[in-house]
Formats: sequence, C-alpha cells, structure tokens
Amino acid sequence: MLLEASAGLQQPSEGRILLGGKDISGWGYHRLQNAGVAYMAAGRLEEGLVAGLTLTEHMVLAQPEQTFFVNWEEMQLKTARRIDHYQVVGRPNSTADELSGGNQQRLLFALLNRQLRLLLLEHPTRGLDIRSANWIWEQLYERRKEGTAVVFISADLDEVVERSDRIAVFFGGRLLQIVSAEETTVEELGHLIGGEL
Amino acid sequence: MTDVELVRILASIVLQAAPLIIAVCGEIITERGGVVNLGLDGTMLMSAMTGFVIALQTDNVWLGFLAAAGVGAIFAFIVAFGSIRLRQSQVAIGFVLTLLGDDLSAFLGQNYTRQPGPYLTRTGIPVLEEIPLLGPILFDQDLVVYFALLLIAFTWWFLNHTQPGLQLRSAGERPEAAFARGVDVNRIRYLYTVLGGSLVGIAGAAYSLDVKIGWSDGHVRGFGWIALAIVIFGGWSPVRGALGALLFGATKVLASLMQRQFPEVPAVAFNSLPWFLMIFVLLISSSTLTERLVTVAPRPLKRPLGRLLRVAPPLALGTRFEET
Amino acid sequence: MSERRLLNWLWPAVPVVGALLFTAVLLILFGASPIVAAQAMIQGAFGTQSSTLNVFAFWLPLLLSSIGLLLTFRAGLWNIGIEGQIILGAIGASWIALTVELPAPLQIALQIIVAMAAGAVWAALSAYLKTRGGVHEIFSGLALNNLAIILTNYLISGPWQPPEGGSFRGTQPFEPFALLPRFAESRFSPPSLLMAVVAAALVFVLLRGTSWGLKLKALGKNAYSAFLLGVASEREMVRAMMLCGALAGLGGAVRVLSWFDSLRQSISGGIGFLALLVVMLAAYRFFWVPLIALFFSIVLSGSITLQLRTQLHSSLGGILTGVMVLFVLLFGDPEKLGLRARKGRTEEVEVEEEDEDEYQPPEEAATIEPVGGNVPGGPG
Repeated sequence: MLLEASAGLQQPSEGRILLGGKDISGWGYHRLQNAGVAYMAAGRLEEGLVAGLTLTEHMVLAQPEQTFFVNWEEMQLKTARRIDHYQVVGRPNSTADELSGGNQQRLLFALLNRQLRLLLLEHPTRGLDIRSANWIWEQLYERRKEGTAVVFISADLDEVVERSDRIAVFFGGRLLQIVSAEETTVEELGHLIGGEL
Repeated sequence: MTDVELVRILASIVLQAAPLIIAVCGEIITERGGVVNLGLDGTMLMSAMTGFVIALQTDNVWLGFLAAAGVGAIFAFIVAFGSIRLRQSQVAIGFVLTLLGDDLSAFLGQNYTRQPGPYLTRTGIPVLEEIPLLGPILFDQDLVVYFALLLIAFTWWFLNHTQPGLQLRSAGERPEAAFARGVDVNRIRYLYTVLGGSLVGIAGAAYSLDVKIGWSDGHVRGFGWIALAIVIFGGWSPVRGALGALLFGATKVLASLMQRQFPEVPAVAFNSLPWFLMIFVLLISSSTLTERLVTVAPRPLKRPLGRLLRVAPPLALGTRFEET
Repeated sequence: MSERRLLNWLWPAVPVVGALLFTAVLLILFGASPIVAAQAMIQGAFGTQSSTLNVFAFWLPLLLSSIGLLLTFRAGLWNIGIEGQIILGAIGASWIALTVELPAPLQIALQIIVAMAAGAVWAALSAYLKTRGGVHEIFSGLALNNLAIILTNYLISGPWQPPEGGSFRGTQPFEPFALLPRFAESRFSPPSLLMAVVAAALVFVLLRGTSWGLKLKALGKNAYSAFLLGVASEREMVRAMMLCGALAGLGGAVRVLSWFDSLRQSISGGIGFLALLVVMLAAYRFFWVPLIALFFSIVLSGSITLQLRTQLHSSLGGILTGVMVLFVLLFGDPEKLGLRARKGRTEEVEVEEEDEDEYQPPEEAATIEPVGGNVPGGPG
C-alpha cells in the first residue's frame, strides 16, 4: 500500500507525499515514472512483465523515448547487449514467461532506466536462489551509490535487518516506529511487527 | 389514475419482469461458480422458439417448457465443456453461441412464425389473491410469475444458507482453496452452468408461451443481454437482481403506456429507453464511478452508500481452473 | 511420426467438414437436398459476372471491419459495438449525401470522412464508457448497436423519409454524383477496393512495425504489466477503438454508397458480427482475414439465392459460418484436445473419446478478463 501510494498507483485519502521536498501527492504513476520513480511489484509475470512478449519487445516498451516506427534490428542488438550485461539467461527472442524467476527479476532490472531518484520494490528476492538474491543486492547497492533512494518491503526479517539503513514498522495500518538497522535485532523487529512496543 | 389502474400497471410490471428474473437467477448461479455464459441471448431465442414449437406440436405447454430447459442446458453445456475441458475463452464461445442461436432459431422456427399457439393461462392462488393490493399484483398471475418469485427466494437461500451453495461460491471465488478442501471445482462448474442454462431456457419459453406469446424472427432478441447486464447491476445477488428486472419491466410497461398517451412523440424515444437504462445501470454498478461517489459523499452517508452501491464480481469469474 | 504430421496438417479441415455436415443435416430435416442447396449457393455466388462481382462488393465492408477488429482484439478489447459503428458510418455518409452538393470527388471524399468520423465517435463512446465509467465494452457496444438501429429507423421514417412516402423502407436514392462509381452492372466499386487495400496495409504496418502496435499487444496480453511498463493504457485503448470505428464507418459508407444507393433499415446486414466471426476464425492472424472474409461473403451471398430458390430461410448462411467458428473454437486445436500427446492416432473419428490420464500440462494461465461491470483494466 505504502509503495503503491508512493508510486502513484493509489491516491492517499489524507496526507501528503513528498519527493525531494516537492509535494507529489495526486501525481499519476506515469508522471512519477518520468520524474525518476520506479516501482517493482512482487508478481513478476503478473505485475511487471508481459507473458508472451519477447525480451526485445519489453525493451522497446520500457524505453523512455520511443520512436513511432520501431527499428527491430537495432533494438535486437541493444537487447542482446543489455541482457548480457545483466546476466539474463535468455535470448532477445525468448518470451518473458520462458525465463526462470531469477532471470525474470534480472530482466526487470535490465528494463529499469539509469538515473532513478526513487526505486520501490516489493519482496525483491522472494522465491530466488541465493546467487540471484545476492546479485540483486549488488545491483541495489550500486544504485544507491548513484544516488537512488531504495525502499523495499520484505517478509524476510534477516534480510531486512542485514540490508537496510532504516526500517519502518507498520502495525494495524499505522506507522509504529522507524528504527535504525544497526541498533535493532530480528527478535526486536518480530515484537514490533506484533504491535509490542 | 384510479387505484384499479395502478394495480393493473404494477401487475403487468411484475409479469414483464418474471422471465428476466428467471434468466437472471440462472445466470447468477452460473457466474457464482466462476463461469460466464455469454450466450444468453442466443439461448433464449432458441429456447423461446423450441418451447413454442413443441407446445404447439404436442398441444402441451409443459412439454414446451421442458424442451426449452433442455435447449438451455445444451447451450450451457457447450460453454462449460469448451471452457473447462477444451480450455477455450468463455467469452468467445458464448458470443458465437449468441449469434448461432439467433440464426438457428430463425431457421428452425421458419414454419411457425406468427401462428396462434397454446399459452399459459392465468391461475390465481386461492386466499393469497384476496390480500388487498398485494394479492392482485403478485398472486393473481400465472405460474411463470410464481415460479420467478419462488426462484428469487430459493436462489438466495441456496447461495447463502446451504452447504452446496457455499461450495458453489467457493468455486467461483477461490477455486484453488476450494479444491484444497476437497471440492471438485470443475464438476461443480459443469453442474451449475448446465442448471443455470436450463433456467435461462425456461425464461426463453416464458416469453413465447406467456409474456410475449408466439414466435417470429428475433422474437426475444436483446432480453438475454439485458439479463446479463442485470446480473452485474444486481451485484450477483438474486434479490438485487430481481429489483433490476423489475426496473426493466417497469421501463417497458411505462414506455408502452406513454406511447399510447403521447402518440406525437416519436416511438424512437421509447424504444431506446431500455438501452439507455442498460448503460445507466452498468455505470452505477461500476467500481470507478461508485468509488468516486462514495468519496464525495458526506461522512455519515459514506458507509451506507458504499454498502448499497459497491458490487464485486466473484473473484475467479471467467478464469480457468486447472487441478494441478 | 509422418502419420501424426499428416493428422496435424489435415486437422483444420475437420471442423470445417463438421460444420458442412451439420448444415447438410439441417437441410435434410427440412426436406431439401444438400447437393441442390450447394449448387444453388454456388450459382448464387458465381452464376453470372455481376453476381461474382457482388460477392466482392459484399466482401469489402466486411474486410474493412475485420481489419479494424484486428486492432481492438490485439488490445484485448471485445469491440462488439462494431455493428453500430458501421451503421453510424452509413448514417454519416447519408447525411452528407442528402444535404450537401459538391463536385463529385469532393462530395465523395467528404461523405467518407464524415462516415469515418461518425464511426470513430460511436466507438469512442464505448471506449470512454470503459475507461472512465468502468462499463465493459461488450455491454456498452451492444447497447450502442441497438441505439444505432433505432436511430436509423427514426431517420428513415422521420426526417429523411422519402417525399413520396410509400412502403419502401429507406431514404430516397442519392444523386448519382454522391455514389461511388460502380463496375459494370454490379454493386462492386473499384475505389472501395483501393481504400480497403490501403487500410489493410496501414493496419499491417501499425501492428508489425510501430511502437503503438506493440503497446496494443502488451495491453492485450497483460494490461496491468503494460501500464507499469509505461503504456498509457486508457489512451491507447481509446485510440484502438476509434481507429477500428473509423474503418467500420468507412465500411458503412461503402454499404450506402455502392452496395445500396440509400440508407436502408438493415443497412449493416450483420456485417459487424460477421467480422467478429471472421477474426475469431482467423485466430487473429492478419493474412487469414481477407481469405476468410471472402469465404463468408460467398456463403452469405449464396444463401440469399438459396432462399429465393428453395424458400428456405437465408439464416442458413449464418448457421454455416457460426457453426464453423464454434467447431474451430472447440476442436480446432488438436493440442488442446490432447491429441498430439498420443501415438498412432490417425483416425479422426476417434476424437470423441476422452482420456483424462493423458492430460496435457497446462500452458499459460487464463488471461480472460471477467465480464463484469468492473474490470481491472488498470488501477482505478
């Protein structure tokens, strides 16, 4: 919910959303997308990729500047380079549903534009093997270095404590507390999630 | 306008609504299980024709209704078989059946158009018909009306207060969970799609043998689509659906009354009413518009208005279920 | 292996043969000989030069509508309102033909532009009811079809009634300069063919070579993912519907300006619904559309002659096409029947048997959207 509201997919009934000090409440998803906000939902093949479309077709769709006529050969080459760089196991002509879960997640990363201001992720490593999960964290750290704010939600508390700077705990629809990851433990988090302060 | 006239008008509204109520209840049973039978319009044309022809041939109205129910069941079975066993689009099959039912009924019924035939006669229910006001409106009618009234109550009770009704709804809402609890989802879908279809068939014959007696090309064209729209407007509930059917019945009766009253107004104004009404009721029941309405409503009204207007289709409506 | 390849190759014929058998049985039930009926149909379609040309004249509006539907189907939309869009096109063209007098080429150009605009507007109504009002396009389209028919009847019997009145259910014939030039003694007009070819080429390029076509494809396969990837789903849906409506409107113009010479009661003649069947039978593949549309035109033209000859209802043509599409939907894909998984199956008769044990693994999940008032076409 919080991520969807921040991405402009849901409109808050009260309150404001700020991005870099600027009020962005009421902005639509696509407007925020252009402003450098990216949202990666949990369901890779349901809310992110289009089953039946090839990797090249995904690349064309995700490009920020599109030409009306598509130069398929050029895009094919570009896709090949991009999936090589992001270590996606697949060919430009494979369809998104032919990829494994880890490769689908890699593809989603490959589709992200450079220079993001805010990256919102739902369960970024759910269902992935350790190698893929580690690779994703490398990518996220790299993004952070480039100045992108990364916000993620996860059900894996170990991961939350290990990978975050600050952790916001919600309970019963309200923000309970924001804790620093260095000063908290998995046990404490577990209590907080249960609503025990 | 005298009281007697008003009662007569109300009674004819109930009569006009009765076949729609039957079709709506049938389709609600089908859709609550997760299957959309979009072929309603063709089914009703075919069953209206079959019902009339069989009743005429055998001189027995009940055989007509029986045959019509059979036709409805066959059409529904094609939808169920095509979507469950053959994994094809329910919408596509239903739509083709609509067109096919139209042409097939025109061809098979070509020798029976505009002929007099048997029809259902009025039978008042003793005692009940003596109730002032309500008696003449509801209980001095014919069996189609009584059947429709009973069907509303039965469908409501069945869906909300019986074990099989619960199973049916679980097949339409969360088929995976239902399957895990041992419900044979696809068998239930077959069963209730066919059952719902036979009710739709009865509704078709209710037109040709009672409400709009006789047969001609495209005799009941459009009513199936109206019934499908009412199912949505009624939020997949038989009681609200019946209200929707009454609304359409009232529009029809009022339109013909007005037409007699104001012959100088072109007929187009009255003929188009049901279709405007159809768009209107669907707009009301659409989530986008309701949510907007509910947000702008004053605070004390928000909750009741939301409860009144919000409707949601069964979660798994129109989707396939695979047992793996 | 070769036997199975042969089966796969022959398989598409099975539903077609099945549909022919079904229709033949119907004919026998009504005491008519299927062979005589087939002869009458072929005679009706190809008996004379003008009857052959008339088949093509019927084909053009059907082709235009079918091509338009390729766009809306690609975007995952059920544009059942196409029937009304054709009718509005016919009304638009008639309006100009009855009220404006210009030099011939300008006159025809204006008629066609207005017809396309009228069709596009009618389609836009359906589209906006979906994107803004949350009404499924099947229902709005159906209501708008009926409203278009009612509007036609009103115009014919009211403002556009011929001065001499009479039982003739249509407007008075348009002036010759308003009509599309016809070929010989037929209803076929070469300029319409040119327009259809241009329209087909346009749609082909749009679907294959442009980012817009790709956006429609993404929308049709997964509207929400497409939205997240940056496709303005509502805008593109409206555009697809409007372009389809414009092509249907053009088809409607061809109906009044060359098939007839005036606005008639059943001006569309069910061409919109037929076009939906054409595209379904073609399984949304571009190159099959013109061929299937032509086949349907032959059947439909032939069945009118059949009615004249044998007094049998002309809905027989509709039955043949409808049953064919139904059979192809049901049995057209041997893989879905579980046939390909088996060895040594060569006789098509044995298809009736089902074997649950050899069930094919499920492929992709169902992507049919529920036909409800509120359809997840994107986040609300």
